[in-house]
Amino acid sequence: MLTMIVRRLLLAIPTIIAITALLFFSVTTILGSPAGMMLGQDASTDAIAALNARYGFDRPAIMQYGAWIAGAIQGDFGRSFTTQQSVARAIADCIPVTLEMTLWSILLATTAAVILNTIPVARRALAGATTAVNLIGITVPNFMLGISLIFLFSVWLGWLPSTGWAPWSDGVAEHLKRIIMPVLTLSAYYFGVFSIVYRAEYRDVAQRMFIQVARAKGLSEWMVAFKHALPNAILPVITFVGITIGQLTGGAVVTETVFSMPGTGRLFVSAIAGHDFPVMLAIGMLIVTGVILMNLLADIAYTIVNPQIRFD
Amino acid sequence: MIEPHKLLGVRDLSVRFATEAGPVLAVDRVSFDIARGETLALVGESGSGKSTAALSLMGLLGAAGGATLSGRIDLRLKNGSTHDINRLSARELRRVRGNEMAMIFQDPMSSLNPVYTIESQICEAIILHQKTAWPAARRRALELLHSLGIPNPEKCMTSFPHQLSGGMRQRVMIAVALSCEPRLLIADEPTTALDVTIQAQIIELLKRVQSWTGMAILFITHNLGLVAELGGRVIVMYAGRVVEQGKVAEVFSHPCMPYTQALLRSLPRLRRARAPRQRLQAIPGNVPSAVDRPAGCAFHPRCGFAAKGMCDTRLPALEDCGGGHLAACLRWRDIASGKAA
Ligand SMILES: Nc1ncnc2c1ncn2[C@@H]1O[C@H](COP(=O)(O)OP(=O)(O)OP(=O)(O)O)[C@@H](O)[C@H]1O
Ligand code: SF4
Ligand SMILES: [Mg+2]
Repeated sequence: MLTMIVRRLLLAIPTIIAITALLFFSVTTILGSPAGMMLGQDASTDAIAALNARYGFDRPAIMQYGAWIAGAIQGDFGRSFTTQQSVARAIADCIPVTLEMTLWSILLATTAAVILNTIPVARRALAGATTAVNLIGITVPNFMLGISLIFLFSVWLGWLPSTGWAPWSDGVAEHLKRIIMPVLTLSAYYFGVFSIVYRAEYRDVAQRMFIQVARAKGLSEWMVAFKHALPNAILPVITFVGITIGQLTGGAVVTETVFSMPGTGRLFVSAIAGHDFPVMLAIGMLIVTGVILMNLLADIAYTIVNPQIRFD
Repeated sequence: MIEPHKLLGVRDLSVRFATEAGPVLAVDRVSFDIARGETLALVGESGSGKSTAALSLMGLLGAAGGATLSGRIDLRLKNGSTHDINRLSARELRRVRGNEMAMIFQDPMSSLNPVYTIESQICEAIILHQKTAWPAARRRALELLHSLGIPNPEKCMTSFPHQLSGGMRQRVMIAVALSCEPRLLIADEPTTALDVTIQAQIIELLKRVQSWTGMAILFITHNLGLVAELGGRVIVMYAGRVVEQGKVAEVFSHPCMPYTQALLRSLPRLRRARAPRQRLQAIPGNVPSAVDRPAGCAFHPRCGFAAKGMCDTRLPALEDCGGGHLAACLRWRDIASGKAA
């Protein structure tokens, strides 16, 4: 197990380097020279040359990448083109917001998806309904759900502030008021995804012999479902949760934009809009590293839930 | 109601499944009894309705299975009262399952939950039915594993299913089934998935267990060799119906119904080939589709004695062909006296 973890971690290094390199070169070739992007199309050649020299854009791309990755390893991702702020700083400020929102949403969505799809009566009675709910969760764009919530709770009922962010230091109530709608919005999406994954696996597990054996022992349908089927059906959900947490920005982009939350998702969107090359790269690297690490964690969680799976 | 020495009385049990291809009558007016401590073998080709009959005895075909059941399944409980399984509530059924009767299944590989230790899977039923605490249940589980000839029971208790061989898993399943001292054990092809030598060991084990506990066994199999070894009584099923029934020695020496005769003719060959997994296929033709059963005697398209205008129109009832040996064949007298061609 320990050797597996070490091996996977060592393997992660070349993967991260390869993916960031790909990101680096594709961004530079597709978007053109960063100086051109920053200064606009009418910039004089002199101005571009000056900027290139200042940021080192006149060096060969491979050397630029080398310098970037060397800095990145030490936690230095350069400065933002648009705000001149340290990129590492900007991201570090955003991560807690996104992380908290994502974790609450995943917790809520997984619990609801697993429990609702395990309860015997609910599972059968809602077979059609949950599918519809799943589809609504997945297909109704997040921004529409977000806007509907804002309309209902902020505009109409006036219970909750529509947008913005309040850190814990502003008081628990203030904090919860701001985070509840984004969490509900994001959970709806995760609920749909997790339900589909879980239901598919549950159907397979329910066909296995040990389920019939559990009934033959005289266990109630609830015991059969929660004690015998659930632990076997939950494995793919664990992987999904891992990947989802790893992606961080993935699900958060729209939600953060709708609710104007200062998270990594919104940072990413504004970086793209402002051609803010260092910020884009740094978030790219964050996503790659996150996905790899969470995949590893999910695999470790697997072995804990299901003893049959052992890594050599 | 059933006679005092009887444990189980099945009367006109029918099971119908609604499938996309139409209604399937998997079990068709089946009746039989099981006496206390008796061994009853249930044989027949694949699809003849053996597992369906077994599952309905356990009350496992209810609402969830999409099946419609009719008839009576009277079971005498440990406390002496008699109840019809088909009319018990879900809660009452749960008190019967695992406690009054237990079942072991064909595939020991998937019969155990991969997530739990052997200990927790054996103790589960004991704690549920006998309301004992964990230490007492644990002692009982250890004792069971020990008496079932499992080497190093302590280690087995803490193992997970994937760490055991197929034979060991089936022993563990037997331990699970015996844990609450049921008076009827239903074994649905418990050895089909195992090697020949392991198969013989499991059969020996079941016979030994039966001699200590005095429980009755309903043994479902394709393998007539095993039926001969087990002794007791046998029921032959064809297309959802009982076609022959009687003491094993009697049925095997004087089979009355052409289907049983054909099965038995294929037996020596099966034995010589040592092919325990081979399905009974020595009879020309196929088992009729469950959706579209032939009229009259369901066996007539494959029967060498079938008479036109008789076997394809009239449904044969079970008749006594001597000393409680029953057979469902319109021509059994002609066949027995050699008059049928
Ligand atoms: N849940 C179900 N839904 C629909 N049809 C079923 C169901 N279970 C069994 N059947 C049908 O009922 C018939 C009898 O099946 P059953 O499993 O009882 O046969 P069997 O004698 O046990 O066969 P095998 O030797 O293959 O185990 C078959 O035609 C089968 O297709
Ligand atoms: S009733 Fe007719 S078809 Fe059926 S077994 Fe007897 S002889 Fe054969
Ligand atoms: Mg079967």
